[in-house]
Amino acid sequence: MQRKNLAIAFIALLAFILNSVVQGAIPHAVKQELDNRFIPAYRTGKLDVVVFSGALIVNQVGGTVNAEIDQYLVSQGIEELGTVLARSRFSLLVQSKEVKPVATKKELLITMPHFQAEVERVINGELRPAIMLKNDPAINPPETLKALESVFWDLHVYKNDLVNLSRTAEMAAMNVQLVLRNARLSAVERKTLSFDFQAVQQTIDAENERRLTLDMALRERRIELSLRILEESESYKDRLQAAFAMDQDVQVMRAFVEQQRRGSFARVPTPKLQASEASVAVARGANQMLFHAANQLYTGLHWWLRGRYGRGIAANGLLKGEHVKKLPALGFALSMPRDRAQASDPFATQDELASPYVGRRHEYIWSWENGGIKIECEAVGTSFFP
Amino acid sequence: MQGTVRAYLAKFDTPDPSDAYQIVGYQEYANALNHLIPLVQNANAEQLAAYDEIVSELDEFSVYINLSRRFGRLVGNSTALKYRQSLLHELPQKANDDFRRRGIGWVLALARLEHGAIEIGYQESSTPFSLNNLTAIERVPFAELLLDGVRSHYWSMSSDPVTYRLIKGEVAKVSDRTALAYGRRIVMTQHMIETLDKVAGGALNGPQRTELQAWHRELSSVREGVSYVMYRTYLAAFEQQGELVRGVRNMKLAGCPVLVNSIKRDIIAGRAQVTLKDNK
Repeated sequence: MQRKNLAIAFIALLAFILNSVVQGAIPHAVKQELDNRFIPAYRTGKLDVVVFSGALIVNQVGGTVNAEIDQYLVSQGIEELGTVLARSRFSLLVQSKEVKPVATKKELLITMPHFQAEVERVINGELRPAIMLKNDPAINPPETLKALESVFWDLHVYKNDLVNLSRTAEMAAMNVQLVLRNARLSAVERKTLSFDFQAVQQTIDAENERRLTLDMALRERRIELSLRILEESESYKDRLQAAFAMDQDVQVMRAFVEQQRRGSFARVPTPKLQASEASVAVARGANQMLFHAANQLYTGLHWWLRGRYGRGIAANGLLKGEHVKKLPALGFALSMPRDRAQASDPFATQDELASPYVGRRHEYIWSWENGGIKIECEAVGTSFFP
Repeated sequence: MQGTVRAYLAKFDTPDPSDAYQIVGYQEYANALNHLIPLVQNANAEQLAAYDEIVSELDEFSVYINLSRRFGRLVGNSTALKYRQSLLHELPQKANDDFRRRGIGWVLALARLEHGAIEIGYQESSTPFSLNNLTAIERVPFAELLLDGVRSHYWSMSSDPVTYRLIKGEVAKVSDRTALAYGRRIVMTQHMIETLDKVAGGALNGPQRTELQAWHRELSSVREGVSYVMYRTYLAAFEQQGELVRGVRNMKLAGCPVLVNSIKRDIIAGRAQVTLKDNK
């Protein structure tokens, strides 16, 4: 009996020690950094702080501690450190923000697997819009303006994904090359970082060509459909949408053909721009007021969406930054939602998931104090009293 | 014997209007309004219905309203009773009203409100909400959004300790920048109340108008506190010069243009709100 009690006590002691070892594996300072800066910044979407703090942590620890940190983050409902860091750097790059500090060897080693996974998603076609997954989408294209508009939106999102991935690949390649040249690496580390960025770029280029081929073919079809609607429909709403659609398509095709003239996308079939332009010009001539109204409506709505959902680079997205004062046109660049914006009920959504991210801007912007009191003093003279 | 000459000369820089361009929404909503208002103004009934239908079908153009009702949960004990007794709450228009509104009128009204609020706070504009081109389709939505905005600011300030520090003139506890920011908020809210009165004053009943007037007066007393804090900050800056023979060459005071103008007038006249406080 006494021996059994001793065994139980020993097991309990062992469990306690093991538990202490596991809990104590993350150094106190790192744990504090995680709790006080990294996790709150992640939860409030302050990506620059996430990158700063995450890089600090990664560069302080190594070996099994990384796994402990990942386990701790997962227990907090957060993804692994490498994934969070890679995604945060990626998001900041996409927003054209300066990302500091520059990734070190240690950081690259834990973020590279995540980056490779992202590339795999493109190669496997996970990000491809449904319309691109069909064998020959040009045979059965969407048949209404609404359906076509939805497809063009998906293609637009995919284009942004590819552009962003390409930019990230470029940045990652530069950092990795720097590390491969200058840092001491083990064989395993060298293997982790030896990633064929050229192949990635080729994959992205090929996907882009597939997207453009489909995009141009569908635009030709939408122009045909829009012309038919203008001829046949009496609905002002349908005619307005048709006028805007064909106007937009001709502009997009024109810009693409110009790119081809400069030597890009040579493998993508050139759209029938001249024929489309001529047809649209005739339609515009016969419906000038309609085309003007369509342009007014959709341009106005475009700006409204940017005002409603756009994020600047300062004050949690509420401000654009001081550089805008010098040249207001610089303020047109805003970060917009990746997918089509959704208006969510602010009373049914958590703050960090709210869309738009502020219900009313006027409830917050008053607190941005651009003024204050500043008094300049100087000697103005002396006086002598007898 | 050498004496001290105190030469006080206050010159004021005008606020920098280009600051407004830094605020997301300022240019964007202006551009939206510049396109949509002429469109709506020149539309016949069929065209207007088409615009309204197109906007209503797109989910991203929905506008949730009555956002101020969140303060029903937040107001402190001292203001809870006042909140409950208020006659200015927005009531559901139908059973299970989710307060989601759609249509071109709501889109225009929201843009007008947000853009106008930035104009009030950061620009010198005599007509921040441009009521001269208020279209019929946005009149009711605009009034609703204005009142919702007024409620949000009012209830938020009612439960904010800084408001009471300003009313009491506790200069040591409120910095000049904080005072100016709150002053901007008050100017913005008062302007919303005044605009609401112009746009939809007739739609409010007597007790509702009385309550709004009371809110306006309460906000004025906080605004006086802002002026007082600014004046004391100004005096403290002089006192810091001590026995040195110096004078003030220039005083830069920037902030909400409407507010700054009134503070300037007070300071230049050498009275500010000190007289008011001393009289209490």
